Amino acid sequence: MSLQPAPNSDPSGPEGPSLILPREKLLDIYYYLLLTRTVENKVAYICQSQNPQQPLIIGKGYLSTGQEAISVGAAMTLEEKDWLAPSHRDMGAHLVRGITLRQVFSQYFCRITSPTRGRDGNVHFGDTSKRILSFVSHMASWLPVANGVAAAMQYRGEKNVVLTFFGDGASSQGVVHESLNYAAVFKLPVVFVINNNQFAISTPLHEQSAVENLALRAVGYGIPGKTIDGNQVLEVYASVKQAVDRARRGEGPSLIECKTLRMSGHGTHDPATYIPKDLLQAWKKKDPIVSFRTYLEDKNLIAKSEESHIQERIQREVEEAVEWARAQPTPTPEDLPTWL
Amino acid sequence: MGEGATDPDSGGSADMAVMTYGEAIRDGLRTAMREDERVYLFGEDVAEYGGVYGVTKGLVDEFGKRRVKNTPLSELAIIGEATGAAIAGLRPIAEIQFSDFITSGFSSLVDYAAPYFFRMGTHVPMVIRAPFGGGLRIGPFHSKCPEAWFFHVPGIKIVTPSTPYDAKGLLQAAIDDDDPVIYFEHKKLYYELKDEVPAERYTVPIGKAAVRRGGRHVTVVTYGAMVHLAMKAAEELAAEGIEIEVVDLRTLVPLDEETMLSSFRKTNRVIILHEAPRRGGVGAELESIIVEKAFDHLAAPPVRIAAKMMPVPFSPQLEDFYLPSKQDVIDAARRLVQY
Amino acid sequence: MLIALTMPQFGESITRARIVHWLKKEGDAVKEGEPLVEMETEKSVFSYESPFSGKLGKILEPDDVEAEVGREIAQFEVSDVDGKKYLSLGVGKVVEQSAASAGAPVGATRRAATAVPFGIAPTPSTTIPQPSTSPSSGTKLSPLIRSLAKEKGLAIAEAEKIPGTGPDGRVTKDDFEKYVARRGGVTPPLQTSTVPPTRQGVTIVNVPAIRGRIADNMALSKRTIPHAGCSVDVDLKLIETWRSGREKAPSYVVFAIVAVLRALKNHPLINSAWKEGPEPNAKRWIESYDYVNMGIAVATEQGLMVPVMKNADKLSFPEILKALERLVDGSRKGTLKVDELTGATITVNNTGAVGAVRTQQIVPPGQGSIIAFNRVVKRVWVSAGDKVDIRPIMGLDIAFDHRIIDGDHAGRFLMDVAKNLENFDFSQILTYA
Repeated sequence: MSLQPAPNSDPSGPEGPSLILPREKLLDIYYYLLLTRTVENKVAYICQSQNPQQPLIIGKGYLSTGQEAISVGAAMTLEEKDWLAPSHRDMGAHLVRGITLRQVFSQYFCRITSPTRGRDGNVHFGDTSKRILSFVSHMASWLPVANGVAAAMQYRGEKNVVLTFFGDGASSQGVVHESLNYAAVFKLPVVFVINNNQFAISTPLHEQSAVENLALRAVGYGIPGKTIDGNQVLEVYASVKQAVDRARRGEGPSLIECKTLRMSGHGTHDPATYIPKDLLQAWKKKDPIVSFRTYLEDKNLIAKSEESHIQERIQREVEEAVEWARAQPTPTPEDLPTWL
Repeated sequence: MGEGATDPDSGGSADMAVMTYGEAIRDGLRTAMREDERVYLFGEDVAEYGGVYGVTKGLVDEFGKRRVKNTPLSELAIIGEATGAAIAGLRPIAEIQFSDFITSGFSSLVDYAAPYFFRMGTHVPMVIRAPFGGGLRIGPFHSKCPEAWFFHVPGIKIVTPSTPYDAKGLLQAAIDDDDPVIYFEHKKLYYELKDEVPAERYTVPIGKAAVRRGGRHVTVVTYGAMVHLAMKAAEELAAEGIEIEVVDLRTLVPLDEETMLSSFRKTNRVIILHEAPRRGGVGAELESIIVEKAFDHLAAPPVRIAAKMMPVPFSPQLEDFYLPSKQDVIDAARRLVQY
Repeated sequence: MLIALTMPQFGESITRARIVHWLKKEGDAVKEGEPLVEMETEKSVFSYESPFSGKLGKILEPDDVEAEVGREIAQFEVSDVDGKKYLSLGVGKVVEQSAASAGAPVGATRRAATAVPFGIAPTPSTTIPQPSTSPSSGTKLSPLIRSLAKEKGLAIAEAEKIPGTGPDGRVTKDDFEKYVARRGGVTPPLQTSTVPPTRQGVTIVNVPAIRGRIADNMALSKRTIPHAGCSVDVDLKLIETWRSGREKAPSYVVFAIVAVLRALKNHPLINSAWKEGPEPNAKRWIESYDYVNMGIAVATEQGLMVPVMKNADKLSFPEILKALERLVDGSRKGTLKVDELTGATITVNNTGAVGAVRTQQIVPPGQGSIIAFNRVVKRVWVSAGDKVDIRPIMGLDIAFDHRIIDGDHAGRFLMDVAKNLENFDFSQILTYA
């Protein structure tokens, strides 16, 4: 258990032997990374260009641009019966765990076909049938609930785990402390991933916390904590896999801090001029998708034709979902007796 | 604080046992856990210690620590576990040691659990036991009746049993219910009340009030420990020929309006009585309902009797001043029958 | 202080009355209870007794004038103590001592004083009670009393005058129920109409108040009550025998009344009324009374009057006889109080007096049955053992509200009355000489 990792670790695995993944899995990872980026680009595009009088997307878009490796890499470690408790920048994890594009755009368009029947918008959703707890606006409010799901697994003697995410801003909430402590005491099978993208709306990390590496707090709970490069998807995968395996063995929770930078505004409405330009430039060079593609190409793990094939497929799928969702009905008061 | 209570005295009739209110709750927990593997309970000091009033004493011996679990001191985490476990298919019963501390977990209940079904279509069948009420000389942080805060939140059911029979029956009903239920048990009644309670599983329906005493002249709508205050006042008033009808709501959400209204249509005079402080209490809603829905039956202005708008005082004299009294009810009834 | 006497409301639904003749003149001292003025209403002509003790001041409405309920008709000078009492009871109004009205002619005062109308507007359908601004009434009726008043067909103005025993003189439910029990049912308001112009070969007969009232009641009854009826012939041989040889024997009618009262004990639905609200799908129920206020139809010069024998079921034979005499006499003389003209729960009709042997009757609105005692006529009769005889036979007719009971019930009731008459128990006429 290392508390002071180097900033740019070897993507093939930070500890011990390198992580070997089958090529299909690597291509899956690539697919989900690119899918997440494409979906969010589409959301941003619609938000910017739609008619405000007759908007298609209700409200703003909340993007994970530049942070896709964190949720994709982590979610790819899960098995079928594991649960996900996402935050608001975990579109990648949603997609990996089976949320369809039609559901995503229905949710953004507030149509009755969304996971919340149009009653909630943008990323405020989950899907019990896919073992995904809903994100709720109160930061980290899902952590104790993730604990509850893990407690149920423990209660039933199941060997499943819960993967949950929260941000640097959320980490200041008391509920985080209470949840980490609670999970540690009961050795709940939860993996806590901090997406430290260094900004909570406009609040930079050093105004959020007196400690730069948030995973340091793990010591206080007696659980393993690790800070890694969140833009290296395989590093994320390897570290989270380790924690997931630990939890599945019944050894309890872990805290993994993924360092990254938020490459978008807080929402599509936010120009984020408070992010220093040089910081943006530095992290732009570390784009997780570009770096993973480069890695795959260098290791001859992907052919150019496969790349274009994946790209076309993603374009097609996204277009289809947008068109489909656009045609779906909006909820009316008559729908209200359902789920009330 | 409370010492451990003895096992229910089986000095009752065949399938009944005489139990205190607190024992009835324990028996309800026991019965539910024996019947359904998904039911388990947790909270602070509930296992070997048996809860600060002894309500859960002995349960850990029968069911083990997996099903009777002590937790760290965190209402957020406790309520969160109840929420998550319920979403994942169990029937958790969380105990908040004193309802006053529910504020520490308020967000978990009100922001996450309460709107979940409306937003996601997934039921959250959790029960939160929250001992409430004063009169025990334990001051402002252990005596509150905070039901009004939750009365105002869509998605939460609230029950307030006032007798041992109802305590067990409503608890089972709350466990069976697919929605979040706050079960406000009145701590002063734990040892004060004793009654015959069936040994087997039974339910008292959520959302149904009970007329505890019939009367022609004034309707008293109340719940919790105040039911007994009203009944004592009724005895005294009967001696002077004034008959009050005591309606015990038993459930606050969903509210049984019809029982209250049909009693009122008969008597045309109403006293709304609750232990929680007056302003914005549940009584304000009850009074509005009566005026809105039975205006033509009003012979006199409705009367609300509630605690004063101040924190619950510690000193006995001040606490007695703070709480509604039997004399308040008697005076109000005497005034009302003039109309 | 100076207070005004306003035209009282002499009965439910009465909206106006005619001042026939002032019995006192301006400046006279008047004591409470002294006859003050002769009044005529749709129901009767009678002497109105002064509610005040004091000096009769200005007479504001002279003889032979019709005034609506609430109009100021005279002024009285009364002591301050008395004045306070009268005002708190709701009798009379303070006279505004403004410069404009002081010294103004009678005509001006008539317009200025009473701005707020009391009672029901004279329309056939909806009655919209107007709020009163008089100091001792109006705002103190609880919603309960208002809705009960509406249910019972009482005008708000009348409900406001019910003596209240609640806080601040409010009307309690008890006060209301006692008041209504004394009054009984309701009749709708009078409809005034213009007289048509004369045409050749046609004589126009004016419709005086009482005629108009009868017309309205009969029409209402026939419109709203589904009538049915039946008859029974009664052999009065037994009673005839008892009567013969007795001077001043009670008439057959008294016996018939007694027989009816006795039969009603076993047939409470005959002494009942059908009630329902005016709106479609309104609540409806049957009110069955455990007391009998028997209306006695009496023909007078002014027309049909129906004085009411209150609590007749509790009276003895001699008391019934006396009450009957008083009511008939009082009707003909016009001396009956309003209280004695209202509140009937059932009516009997001595149609025999005019020679009828069979009658088609109309149930008075607000009641459920009316029984006719037809003329006693000697008929050929087949009695026990197939013997042919001559017997004094009285036909008993009942007309009833078919919503409340069916024909078989009415028939059984008449059979009971017949049985009571044919086997009359003379022991109840104890002290009769």
